[in-house]
Amino acid sequence: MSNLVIEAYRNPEAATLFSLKAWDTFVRQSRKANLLASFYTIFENHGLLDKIPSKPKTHLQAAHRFADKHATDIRWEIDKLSKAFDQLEQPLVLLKGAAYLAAKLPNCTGRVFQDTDILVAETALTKVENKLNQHGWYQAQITAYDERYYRRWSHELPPMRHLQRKSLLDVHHRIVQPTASLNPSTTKLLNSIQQLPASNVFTLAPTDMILHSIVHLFNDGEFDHALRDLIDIDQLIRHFNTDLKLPGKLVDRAEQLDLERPLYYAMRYLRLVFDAGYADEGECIHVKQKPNAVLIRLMDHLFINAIEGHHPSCERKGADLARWCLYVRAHYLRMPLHRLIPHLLYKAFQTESH
Amino acid sequence: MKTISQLSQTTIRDHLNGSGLGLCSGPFNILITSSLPAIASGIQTLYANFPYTDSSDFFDFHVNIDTPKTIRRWYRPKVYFSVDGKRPFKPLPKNHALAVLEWGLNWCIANQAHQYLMIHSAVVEKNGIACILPGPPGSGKSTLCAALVANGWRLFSDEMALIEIESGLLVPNPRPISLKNQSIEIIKNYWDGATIGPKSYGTDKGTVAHVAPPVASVLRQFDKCLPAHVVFPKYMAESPVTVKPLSKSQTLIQLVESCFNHNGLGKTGFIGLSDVVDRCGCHTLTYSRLDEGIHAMEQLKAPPHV
Amino acid sequence: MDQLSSTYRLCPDVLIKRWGNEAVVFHSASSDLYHLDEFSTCILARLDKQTLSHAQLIDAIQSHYQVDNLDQLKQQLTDKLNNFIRSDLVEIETI
Repeated sequence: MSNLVIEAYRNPEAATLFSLKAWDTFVRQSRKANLLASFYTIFENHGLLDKIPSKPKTHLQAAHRFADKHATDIRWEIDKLSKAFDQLEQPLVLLKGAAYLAAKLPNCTGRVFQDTDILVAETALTKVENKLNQHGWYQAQITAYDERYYRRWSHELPPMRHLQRKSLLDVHHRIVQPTASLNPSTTKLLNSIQQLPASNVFTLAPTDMILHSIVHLFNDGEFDHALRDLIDIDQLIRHFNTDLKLPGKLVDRAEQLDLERPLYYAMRYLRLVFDAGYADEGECIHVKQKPNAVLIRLMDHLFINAIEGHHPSCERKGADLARWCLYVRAHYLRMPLHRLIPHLLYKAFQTESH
Repeated sequence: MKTISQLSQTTIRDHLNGSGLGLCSGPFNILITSSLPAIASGIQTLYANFPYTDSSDFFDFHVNIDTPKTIRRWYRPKVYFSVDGKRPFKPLPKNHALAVLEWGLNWCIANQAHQYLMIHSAVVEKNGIACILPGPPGSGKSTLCAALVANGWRLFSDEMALIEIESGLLVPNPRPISLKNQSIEIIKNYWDGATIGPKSYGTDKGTVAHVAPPVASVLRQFDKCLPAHVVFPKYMAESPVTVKPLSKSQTLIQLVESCFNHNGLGKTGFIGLSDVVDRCGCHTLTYSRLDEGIHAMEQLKAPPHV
Repeated sequence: MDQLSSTYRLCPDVLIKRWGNEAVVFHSASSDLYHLDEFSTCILARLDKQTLSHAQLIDAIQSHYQVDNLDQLKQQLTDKLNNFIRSDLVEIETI
């Protein structure tokens, strides 16, 4: 069976022609991709809800309802964070899901995520950590190995958990790991943050938000939600591309932030998977950063497999292997090999013993 | 309507081994696959009166229950429950398969069916008066529920109340009633003609067996109904039967605490449960003898506004 | 905070369900649930309808209760309101 999530995303009208059997597959594929609630909003925006048979519609509504409450919880969390940051001379800069939600971006609806992510200048980390402690956020219990790993090699503090609310907070000081071959400057990102109306809450600039989403997808190794992430990126680009100049701006900004390679891949797969018209420009402009042809062939194979075969009903041969290769690749991008191998071995051993 | 009782054991096995057996359980279509003979015979016994549908239909849950293809098949064999390829629990001993299927289906509903307010409770109805019986394990809710059903009450569920959010209607989902330990013998003696499935010994909950819902409850498994009473049952040895009113605010607090998805529904959930409390008579019922408990339940009249 | 220049209102995420002198309050963002006593019900049920000042709340309570010691009542109300504010049930609107 084909990937109906991609089909319905590219053309929501087409879903109204699905057979009941196809709806059954679509609901399962969307649930697996964490997109069920998002599709409720997509169908709603296209005025198609009335054309969906009642059984699948019930699943979309139930997921939507749940995601809606989740959004309320995250807004509450943001409100609490902004109260803590009021007492600091530091901006509260939200990243990823929390930022989409606070800025009411089209891709915020239907996301369900565990952590709130924020970006803080490295020099302000101690001050921020102390203030967060005063407001009830404490480091979650992790092993001594993980603690050392986070402090030394990671781009974020060990995750913090609120004592009463149990919610998780990730405090980042960079958007990629310090050991990664890519090196986007946090200072440059913080210099262009944007304040949300009637609040003391900030997000990254649109180009930076999109580039961050791209780096997260192509360098973080969590390919279980690759399809959801790619759809996120597409929705963000379409939202901000009102003057049709966004692809060019992304290319310029990617050069400043040292993120050209991930941008190249993102544009390539947005074009290949969603047939995104805007992607040609973004993909073609920076020919100098293009990977060589063999590497492109290999990556095409890995990404397309990982993205399109996310559910057993549409899985191709080798999808698991592809995801594993991407996982190793993501780690390779983040860490030098002599640190990576012991780390992966330790993690593999830990998973085994649990 | 085609019911499972019209299928031979071989046909049931073939379906379970092939594209799946499509069970229509109240508002849910469930596609079950399994290679275990215990599941085939369990379904034949406990779900005999249920309609089935073919595998080209829409299914709310795709569940599989099987032994893994490893040494586990032979050495201390275990079964995995999976829903759409995901395994929500650790494997359990193979001879618990039927109980695992029931727990698994409860898990599916509790985790996905957010179109309903879901309260951990038994629900029964007689003469149009539907009662929600919330109760923690050990309150005797399932035993009382089985005894009420034996006395002609219609089974909605022994495990969770499903309340439609828009209408406030209770949605029936009569499935096998789960009995534990001494309750199995008590109900066997109490309910003449009860169909009781095989026992699973040594589960987390002790010995477990399931009673098939009566055909009358299954035939009306699509008839919804507004709730009339919330009754908190409590079995207490040697106690005389007593029905006491419970304050509305206490009832609401306890319903919120017994609601599986109250946090997930937020305001909608709170408003829905408040409506239930507004609409219903609220009581506690303490009993030691089933007959007295049932007699007390039959005295409950429809609240004026139902 | 100067009590005389402030008015109080229920936080937007708060739902209150009341039966006579008893009520249950639900904070839909934090999922906290409270069973209110009569005095708290009296205050929050009024704030559910409109924004009120400390003095207006005192009047409202006096119409409901026989009050002997006004100063004591004022203090009790202040303590209660501070409690509600700490629990994110009530917020202050400064004029």
